[in-house]
Amino acid sequence: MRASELLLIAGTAVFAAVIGVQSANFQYFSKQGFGPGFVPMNFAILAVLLAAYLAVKARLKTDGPFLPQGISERLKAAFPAIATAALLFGATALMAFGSVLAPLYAVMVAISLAFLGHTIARALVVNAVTLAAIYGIFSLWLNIPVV
Amino acid sequence: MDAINNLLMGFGEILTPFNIAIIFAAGLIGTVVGALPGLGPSAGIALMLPLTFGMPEASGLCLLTGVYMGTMYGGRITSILINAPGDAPAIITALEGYPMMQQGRGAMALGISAFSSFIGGLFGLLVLIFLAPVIASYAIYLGPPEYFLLMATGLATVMLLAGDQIAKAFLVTCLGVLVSTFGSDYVSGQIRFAFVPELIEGIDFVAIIIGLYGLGEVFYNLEKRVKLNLGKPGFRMKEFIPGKEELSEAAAPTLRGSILGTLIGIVPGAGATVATFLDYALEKRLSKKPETFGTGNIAGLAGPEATNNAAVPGSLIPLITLGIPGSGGTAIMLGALIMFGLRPGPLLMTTSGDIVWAMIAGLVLANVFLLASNVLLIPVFVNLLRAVQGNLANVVIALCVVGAFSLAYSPFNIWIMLIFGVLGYLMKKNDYPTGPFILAVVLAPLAENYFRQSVMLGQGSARIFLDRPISLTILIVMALILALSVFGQIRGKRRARQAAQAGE
Repeated sequence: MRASELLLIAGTAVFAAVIGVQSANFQYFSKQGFGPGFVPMNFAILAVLLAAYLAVKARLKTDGPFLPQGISERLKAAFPAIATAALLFGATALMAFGSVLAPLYAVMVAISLAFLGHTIARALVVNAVTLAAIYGIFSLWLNIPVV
Repeated sequence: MDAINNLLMGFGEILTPFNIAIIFAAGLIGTVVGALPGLGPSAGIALMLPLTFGMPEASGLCLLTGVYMGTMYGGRITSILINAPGDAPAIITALEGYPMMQQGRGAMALGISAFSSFIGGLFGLLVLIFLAPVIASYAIYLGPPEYFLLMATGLATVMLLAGDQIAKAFLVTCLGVLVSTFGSDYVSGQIRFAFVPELIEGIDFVAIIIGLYGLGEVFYNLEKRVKLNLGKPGFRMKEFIPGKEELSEAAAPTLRGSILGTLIGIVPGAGATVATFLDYALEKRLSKKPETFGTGNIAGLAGPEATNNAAVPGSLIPLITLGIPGSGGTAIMLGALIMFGLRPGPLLMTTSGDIVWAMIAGLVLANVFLLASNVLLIPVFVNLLRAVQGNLANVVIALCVVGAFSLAYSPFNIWIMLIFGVLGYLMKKNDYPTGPFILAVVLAPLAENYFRQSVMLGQGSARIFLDRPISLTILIVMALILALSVFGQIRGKRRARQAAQAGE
């Protein structure tokens, strides 16, 4: 089984379990009909069951061990996606200081250099032009206060 | 005649320099987005959604539908030039278009596919113009039970079309339903799962789709290192214009494709991809030279191209008249209609007829612009693609981040967008369909309300679904679809087993 699929199934199951437990706080049924707990409770149970079914199905299909093998090679292959996501999470945390575009620009330059094969000069200029165009559209044209 | 008058009123609304520029730009953007592998109609509409904030409703909807239509034209460019379909419906285009390119008839393939796309789009629009008001006039007889069942049918069809992936489709549908339960419950007024104050109004739908379709694709493409080598195709203008012989060869398949595309577009869940595959199979069966399919057959190119463009207006019919989307793209359009403060459903054409007809008029204009631009501006598109694709990941990331920020002028929606970006990446990487997820996110709150209202109407009993003739009919249709699907799967498995045994 692929590590990424296991992550997806496990993440969905945990999320569904949390919602399922929380939905117990809401009314499930009354004399008039169903309450606000009806849909989340049932779909949470269904999601957990389906996640278990998919995990078991994947286990039965594979001849090798259930848990993913060769994690380091797989991580290496997925490194651009993981690194980009990590950079964006970091940049979003920095946006709490007031600027959206400055951390975003830093991330874009880093991606250009690391994964798109741009030179430093090209990365700085192309991404500055891209952000200037986006600033023009959102801030100057649509009056959205993005700085 | 009412439809014509309404359409003229729609043209009166959109024929301003600003709207004309918006529609033209939407067509260009849609064509480029559609041509880029990995970015399809849903991604195009999702990325453009934040740009519509603050625009008049008609302009915003023209932008979104223009992009939707443009992506259908765009998918064929990279299919024909470099055998890299920009989106799923363009896979068939590559089968016939790329061999034509290799034979030195690339410009002809682009020309024929542009004309077929135009005819398909026009046919679908004519059906939309004349059929939508008729359906809307009957739709007022539908109540909560019928709406719930129609939505359930749409969702069920999407899941059944997932074939072998049905369990995956079911899981992502459940996930979509759970995501949609955050925030206010419209029936009881209670707030559900507001773990932080920002969630009181629920998870913003736009942040979800931007993350899922925009950022998710970027993560995936960065990992796969997707890169296009477009070369420098040099075509002369006269090479794009099909001659009498090519036109007569393409005419009947184009017409058949237009009809099939519109019909399948109307069916919830089917969409352009299924329609193009069916039309290609039909053309091959009808052809006197089926052995030439796959080697640059004009009928095999023209039919499916007309089909995928006709499916766009077709899919808008249930959306506009019933408020029921049949695909990921139309689900996003439904979200956009709600975002603009419109109430999709049978009364939409009555209460907001001016906006709906302006949108339809915008689609007619976009189709004309797209034909002209896809014949005259191919070199411009190729150069635009070359310029954008070198820094595509960063352009999409910037649009996603700034777009998510624009929703509430706070980084909260950027966090949401990032979470759904990771989810989109994991789903794409492991072949989990995103269509059922996004349909569930959009439809589940409406379906839940209709379901609970129906049971209330039935005094706590679910028999109301059987007591009303229309809802009973929908239930029977649902059961038939389910039975046919199960029967088809069993037959397919039996055939595969027999073929395997024969091979041994």
